[in-house]
Amino acid sequence: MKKILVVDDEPDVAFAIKRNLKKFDDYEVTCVNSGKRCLNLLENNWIPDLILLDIMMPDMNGWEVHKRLQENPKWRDIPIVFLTAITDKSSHITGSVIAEDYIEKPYDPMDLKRRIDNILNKKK
Amino acid sequence: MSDPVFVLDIQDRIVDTNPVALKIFDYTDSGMIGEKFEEIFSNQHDLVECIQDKKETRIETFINIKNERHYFDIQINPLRNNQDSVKGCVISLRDISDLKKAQQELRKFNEELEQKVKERTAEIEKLLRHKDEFINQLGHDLKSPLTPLIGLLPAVEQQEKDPELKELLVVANRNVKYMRDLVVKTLQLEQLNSPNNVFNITEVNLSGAVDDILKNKKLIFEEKVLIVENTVDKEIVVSADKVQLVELFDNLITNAVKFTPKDGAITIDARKDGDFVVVSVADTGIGLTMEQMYRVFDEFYKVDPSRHDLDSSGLGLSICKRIVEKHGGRIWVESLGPGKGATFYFIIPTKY
Repeated sequence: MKKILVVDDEPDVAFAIKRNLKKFDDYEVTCVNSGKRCLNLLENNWIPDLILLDIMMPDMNGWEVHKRLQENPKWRDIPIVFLTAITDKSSHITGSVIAEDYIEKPYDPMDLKRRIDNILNKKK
Repeated sequence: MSDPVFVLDIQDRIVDTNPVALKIFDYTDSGMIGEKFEEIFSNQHDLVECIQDKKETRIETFINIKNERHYFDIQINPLRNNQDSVKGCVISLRDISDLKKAQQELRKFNEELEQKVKERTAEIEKLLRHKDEFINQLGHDLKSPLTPLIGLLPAVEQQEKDPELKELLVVANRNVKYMRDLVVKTLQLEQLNSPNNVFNITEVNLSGAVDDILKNKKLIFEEKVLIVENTVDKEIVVSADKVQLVELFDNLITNAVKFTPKDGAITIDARKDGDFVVVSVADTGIGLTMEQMYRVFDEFYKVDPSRHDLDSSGLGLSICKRIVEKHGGRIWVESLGPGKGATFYFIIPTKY
């Protein structure tokens, strides 16, 4: 079963993502509420198949988390999908370029599943 | 008060003058008559030089009188005898100090005004930036709580077996979706209206872009048994922001689906016209009245306000209009009337 890590500071949002993906039985979804916790998990050699990353988070935002992941050769190849409520168009452009995908909240659950499938199938 | 006048002979001696001149330059009659002009106005080299030529001349210069600078508009006219040979000249000096002062004040006033305009512009730009930041933050904070609602409510509705409860969930679901559309579309329109929003223009294959959208909407077309055709020439390339172009088509096609009854047809076509492409999205739907055609691009306009239409934010076509206009194009709609279908047209450049 593929492992998906959800990084989002809003527990209700993380819960919804987890429930939406659980339905499909293809994924094991783990949620953390900060960039730091995400890095902690990885440092303990828990490597997910894909990270769903929020951008606007306190302390360490999604851009910073992305940068840290890119800097580490062990983590560089984990596909990252930004999942954000940011409206600003320049974020959309930057996010689409540096990550595997950029999805805006509120997302459509079927669309989210389809896009994750696309990335994980491509990787196989 | 009249202007000071001097009459000079051929040797530049003052032969006559008027009381005003005596008064202004503080001379008595006897002190000035017979004197050389250049001696009385010894500091006025420009003026003295002009007088020696004895040609019709006009100069503007200043003369210091009692430690005060006076500006004069000076006219020199030669005096001729019957044989038309020059025998002297007449010099009249018009004091334009007040005019000069007014001009200087006007210049200063203009400079101050310009400075003020600069300051105000900077202030407005700052306020606009604040507004954009506020909208972005508001957008984020409105979308965040909608995310779990949009994500979870449909699942709850699907799983609910009790018909009464299910009915409540259908209503809740419909309104949450409406709320999402309003928030997303309002923010989109706001972004399109912001001067800071710059398009990322690239060459886009039109037919390919339409195909991508049709693929995503296949389920919806099947549900309503609609025949949807993309007859756009595969060679046509436009200069556009791809994200915005997709948004534009998405809105127009969603609109066509909404107003076309079961078993209808939607056709997307395009033809080149010089440096432009005319794109059309035609449907066999309920059509439009004249009034509706005029107002359909207005913000929050809904074709049937009595229907309490929760499928539409009333902003989709306003967004289309802004997108097309920001590409330097134009959008319009044609319909033969109610029940006779509608065709939305837009023109968009092939080169930017």
